[in-house]
Amino acid sequence: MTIENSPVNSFEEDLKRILDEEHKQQLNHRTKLLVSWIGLMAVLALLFSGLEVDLGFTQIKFISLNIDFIKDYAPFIAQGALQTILISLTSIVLAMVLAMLSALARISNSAPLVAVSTFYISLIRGTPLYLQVIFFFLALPQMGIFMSGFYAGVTALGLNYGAYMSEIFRAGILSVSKGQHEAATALGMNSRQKMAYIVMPQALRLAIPPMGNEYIAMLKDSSLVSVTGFVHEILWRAQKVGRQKFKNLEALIIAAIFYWILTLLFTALQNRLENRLGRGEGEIKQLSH
Amino acid sequence: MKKFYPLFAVLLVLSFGLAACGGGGEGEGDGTLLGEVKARGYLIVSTDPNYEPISYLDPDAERAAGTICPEDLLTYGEMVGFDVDVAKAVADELGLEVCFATPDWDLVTAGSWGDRWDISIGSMTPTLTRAEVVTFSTPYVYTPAHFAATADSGFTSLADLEGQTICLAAATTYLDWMNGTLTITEDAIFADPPGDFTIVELPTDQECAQAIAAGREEFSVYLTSETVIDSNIAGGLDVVKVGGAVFSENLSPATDKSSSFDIDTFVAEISSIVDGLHADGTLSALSIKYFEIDMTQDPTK
Repeated sequence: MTIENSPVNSFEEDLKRILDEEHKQQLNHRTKLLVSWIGLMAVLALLFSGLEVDLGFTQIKFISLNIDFIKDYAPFIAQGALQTILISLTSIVLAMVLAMLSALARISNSAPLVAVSTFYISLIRGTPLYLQVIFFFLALPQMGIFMSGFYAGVTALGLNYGAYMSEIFRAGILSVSKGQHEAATALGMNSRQKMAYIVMPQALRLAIPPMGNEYIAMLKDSSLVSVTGFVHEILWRAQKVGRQKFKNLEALIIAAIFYWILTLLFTALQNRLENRLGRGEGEIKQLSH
Repeated sequence: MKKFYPLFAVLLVLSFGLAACGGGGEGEGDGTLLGEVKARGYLIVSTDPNYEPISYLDPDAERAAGTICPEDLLTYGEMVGFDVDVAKAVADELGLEVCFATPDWDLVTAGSWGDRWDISIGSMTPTLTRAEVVTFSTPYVYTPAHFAATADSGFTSLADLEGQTICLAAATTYLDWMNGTLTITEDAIFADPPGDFTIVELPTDQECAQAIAAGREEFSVYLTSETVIDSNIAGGLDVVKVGGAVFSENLSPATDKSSSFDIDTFVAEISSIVDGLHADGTLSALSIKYFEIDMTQDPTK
């Protein structure tokens, strides 16, 4: 389409041209992004290539890894991935329940409930996760509460992340505007209905995407549970074969790769979830155009 | 909304309660640890799979066929090595299957195991300090504690180590010996630590060796068991042994004093089993199999 053969463009043609241009730019951006990623990946691979480059005036030596060890032990370490995912999933569910409860308690009018919530958050955020894992594993049996290494880890991780995530829920609930509350009251809803049908659905839309972020952080923090020796997840396996075979660096790099792959997978899932939750917003915007 | 808070409180308590399920430490025997393990059918042994050939993981192994070990414990075969075979021999004598727990070393020496495992057969030296929290049975092997240094350090005798930085593992007898706080029988201590040293503490002995292998230069000397040095050298690390043995580690099975069961009969039974394994040559054979020498004779006798 050129100016000569259509001196006056119709509105539709203009719009189409602008949209095409935008689309092309987007594609262009994506290609550049992909190429840059591949470039960065190549640099990382070069770093671990073990190559020795003579530049004439100076020599550059890159980190060399024992490839045979990596080939032999990668499957053994990978077997820990299931444990890692399982412990993180169980913990995040517990953390969400605790976070929701403590957020509700925090915004309530009851002083004891606010106290329980703030005390819990303060205590848990004020002590190291490592210590909490050891506590649930070694201290509770004295009270007759006997949790397996897995559940001791889940409890510690769940309580810990629950305390941090509580603020996310609270922010979500508080973000629902006063008008929504008033409208619900005007419709004759009681406070339970208001919470269930009006406040929570809107609060969760805001709270869920950061949950994904917390889950991804937890995937890696779950490695702390290896200290008990009863949960044979990725890092536990890497440390044990690394020490016994005298190849800590290789073993930890294998573990790092698996953690990264898991993170990439769950980041992709998180993006889909975010898009899904954001769908309603998008439709509203389109309508208003 | 207000009237639902009690409900939330109940849910909170429930979620704690649910998390507490799993695992079972309930006794089913006669209140003694010996009765408990016999009723249970398997012996839970803690040993640290960080050391080849003493105790390590076989990555290709399947779980033992027909095992009754719980899911979160390792079976014989998944774990291999000298300590593992000793544990197997002990469990065989008790007529039990052997299962392995692998908690971090400092959790084992600290006692308060919370009934999570019955016994440590994991190269532990009996010291008076440890004896406050665990009870030891008869030693099953005597390994010499020894210094190792990088080959190009030029160190050959204990005197050369004066003023050096020495790497060792946390919560070990090596650390106690360096600090002069090792409480074992005096005739098992063969030398005094070199003067004016600095200590670097890492999680296990293997980290010391690996730091040297990786080219770290904070230290060129580490103190560990002679068997670990031998396996480091076999693994290609360019180190030499320095001086002679500095003390003897009389490695013994240990049982937690804070156990909720009565441990006396158990500890006595383990001692008599180890005596039997010494007498019938089982331990000597295992020592020769893994270390090529018989280290089952007490060097102080």
